[in-house]
Amino acid sequence: MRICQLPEVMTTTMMTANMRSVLCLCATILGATAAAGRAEVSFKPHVEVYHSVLRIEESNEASQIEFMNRTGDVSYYSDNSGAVIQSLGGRLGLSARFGARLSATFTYDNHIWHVFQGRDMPVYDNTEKIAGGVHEGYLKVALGPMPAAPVVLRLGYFNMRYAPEVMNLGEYLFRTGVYPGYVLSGGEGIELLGAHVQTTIVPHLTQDLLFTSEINIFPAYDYSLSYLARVDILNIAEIGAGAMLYRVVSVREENTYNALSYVGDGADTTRIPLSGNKLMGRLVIDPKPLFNPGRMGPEDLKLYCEAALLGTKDYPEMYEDIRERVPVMAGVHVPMFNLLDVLAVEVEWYGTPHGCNPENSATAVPLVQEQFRYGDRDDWKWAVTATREIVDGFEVTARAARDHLRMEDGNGWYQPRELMKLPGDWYWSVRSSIRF
Amino acid sequence: MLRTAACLIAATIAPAHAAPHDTAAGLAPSFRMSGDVSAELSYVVNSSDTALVPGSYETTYLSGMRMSSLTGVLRLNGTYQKLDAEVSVVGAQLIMPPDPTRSTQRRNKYSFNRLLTAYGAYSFGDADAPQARLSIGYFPFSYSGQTRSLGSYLFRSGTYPGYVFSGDSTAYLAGLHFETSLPGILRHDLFLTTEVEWDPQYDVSLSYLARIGVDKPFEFDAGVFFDRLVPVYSFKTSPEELPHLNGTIIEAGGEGDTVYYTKQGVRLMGRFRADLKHFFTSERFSPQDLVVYTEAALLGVKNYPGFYDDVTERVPAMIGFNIPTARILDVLSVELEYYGSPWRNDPSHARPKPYENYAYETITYASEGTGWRGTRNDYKWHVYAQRTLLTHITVSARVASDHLRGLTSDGSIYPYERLHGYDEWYWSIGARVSF
Repeated sequence: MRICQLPEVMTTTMMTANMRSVLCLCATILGATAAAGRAEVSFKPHVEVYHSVLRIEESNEASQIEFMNRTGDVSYYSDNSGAVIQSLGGRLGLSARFGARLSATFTYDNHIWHVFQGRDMPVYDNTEKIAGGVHEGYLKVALGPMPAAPVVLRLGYFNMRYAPEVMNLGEYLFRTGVYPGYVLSGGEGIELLGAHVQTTIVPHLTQDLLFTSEINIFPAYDYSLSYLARVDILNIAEIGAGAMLYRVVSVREENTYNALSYVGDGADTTRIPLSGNKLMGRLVIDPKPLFNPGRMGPEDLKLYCEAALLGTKDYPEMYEDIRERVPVMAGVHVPMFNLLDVLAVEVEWYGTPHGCNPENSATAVPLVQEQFRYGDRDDWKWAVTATREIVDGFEVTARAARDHLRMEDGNGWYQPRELMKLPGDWYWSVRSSIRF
Repeated sequence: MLRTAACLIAATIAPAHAAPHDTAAGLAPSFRMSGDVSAELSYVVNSSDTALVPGSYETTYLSGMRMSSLTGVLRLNGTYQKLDAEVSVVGAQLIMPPDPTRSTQRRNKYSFNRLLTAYGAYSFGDADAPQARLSIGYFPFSYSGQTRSLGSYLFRSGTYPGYVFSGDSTAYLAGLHFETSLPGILRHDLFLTTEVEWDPQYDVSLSYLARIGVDKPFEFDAGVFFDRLVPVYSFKTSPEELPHLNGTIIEAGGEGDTVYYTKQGVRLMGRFRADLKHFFTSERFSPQDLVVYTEAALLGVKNYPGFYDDVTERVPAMIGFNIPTARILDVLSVELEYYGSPWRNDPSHARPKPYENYAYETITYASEGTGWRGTRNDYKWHVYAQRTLLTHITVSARVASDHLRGLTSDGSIYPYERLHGYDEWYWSIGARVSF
């Protein structure tokens, strides 16, 4: 494995400090485990059922959607505007608590989903798909004085959501790539595999440190190190920032530093690795404490924005302009006075000239057909999301958007191609869920 | 940093109080986990199923074929105030007959896990004795619990061309289900469902079932199913294909009036069950003995000239009877079915025009002997026996000539029937452990 170059001034000091920290952490974990071993074990199941229907009203990108028919041949749809996708499924899970500090959570998901039905699709093809697998599985350790432990450690496969006000666009630190800089959207955060430590030791300051393994995009297993911090200011504002050293530890160098991933030729050849650094900054303002909010709901009138830099280093030809690697979003929760729990309006600008393809044949150089494909035509995205809890445990979410919509691939990840690229493309969806 | 670490260690090892659980009466959800494990071994004694492998026209490849399955179901039910939710998954390992389009020799070994149910339900009125109940999601439904294989036509069939299934009477539906009893003796079930399994998918259907005398000695059921009432892709549900007869376009609606075939249609169902023990009293009868049940359906009320001009060809009908066994068995049931459709019984055939083939009826290029299979397969029969050994263990056996299909690699139903005549049959034995 290769650890990418870190600034020298950091190296020695960090290593010494890190060793002490690691030893302390191990000691506390052992202590917590020993204490848990003497404690009573309790189990708490949880269940969720969900159904979603999505209709693409207009998509200029749909002609590139592949489908596999019953005989295994690949064909392409010529027109998917008006296409409907439905998904229904369930999750069952179990949380086990071993005393006050140690708990384990496991959730299994299985659902029926579909691929597109197109006019040109052979009528004998069955588009019903079944997908199932682990939705989350992690160990959680609470460290420090209870009940509000100042340090919490999670190990395993867990959901990460650092911006709960985001309903679709944003949360760039973990839902993006570098070289090429793809962006994901959606309102449920993202699942990560690895270790996550969160601390609130400093009042009003929440810090997160993550060490995660890439499991969705080839090359798999490369490790990334991330740090986030957010400061709460009098419950009126929150300022957050983060950094991610993406693929800082390469498991197989020949994959992370792909021999085909270069630009130029001869003496002017520049190799572009799949690794890189991401930066993120965000701001949330909730002015309700400044006045009597009346019948406003707890989420009403929140304003938020976020920006990220997907790759701090410039590379010639493909990544020369830093502004083309900066997605920016802004959102507001329109006051609904409890008619809806949330009505979020979000917009995003992302000026990359290349197509946002996470797979990209595992090279950092965009595929030929993705290079400078759309210019500035696909820079703007928007989303309107409304949620309402009808009764305790039953929630309905409706959305209209032109975002980074991708179809799922049935393996817990997404098909690479975005479906909402150009002005005029948009879709709507309705999702209902029962969860307790 | 050292002071911080020391504080953490001290705080961790010190006695910690468990976080209080929400134990307020009625506020915490309650859960129940259940499931079962079952195994079944089957043997096809005789089948004329035709192989479609290029260069082969073998009609005996399935005779003597063994099949087996090992299946597990895990179910989690949760209740929170007036909300119920259920998620269940099924996993199985199967050995199934070959796919006749690919091979006649190699049986297929599959392992799969898939969603079985995922739904929530809200109870109106008292949660313990609700006046009505609304379910949403992917839920099981059966109105004919006595059915062992044949019947349950309202939800286990299709229209234009009509197809039927056999097997467990439970249908798995996606959508909404509203149920109530008003007055108490009359039960109403209203469904708004979406097609998730067979092409064209997503079409929305509306159905209603009325039942009088549920759990009483005599029960009458009647139902109507507006199949694909709201098509999502109208170009697939009603593809505007004109039928051809001897190379000439015929006009389905009569001269000068073209009507296209469509998969939309209306199904009707009627069912009657009688527990004859109502007239006899004997301790030698088990609860299932002496129950007679019959059901008939009309798979498409509207005639269409050409392919669907005879309403009797769209009426499957069955009758079943539970033979008393002096409590030796829990149930010994015999079922018979007649379904005079001349077309292939194929749910995957997504066009409203039937599959035309020499073995089935054709109108395009009819010739002598055409449709021989469509005539031979009109009658089906099924004999089933079950015995509970211990409280949670049951064993069963069956001998049948029904609509045997098998499963595919992801657990969905293989669309093509394997048995094509009353003299083509199989037997199976099985065991189940429930918890």
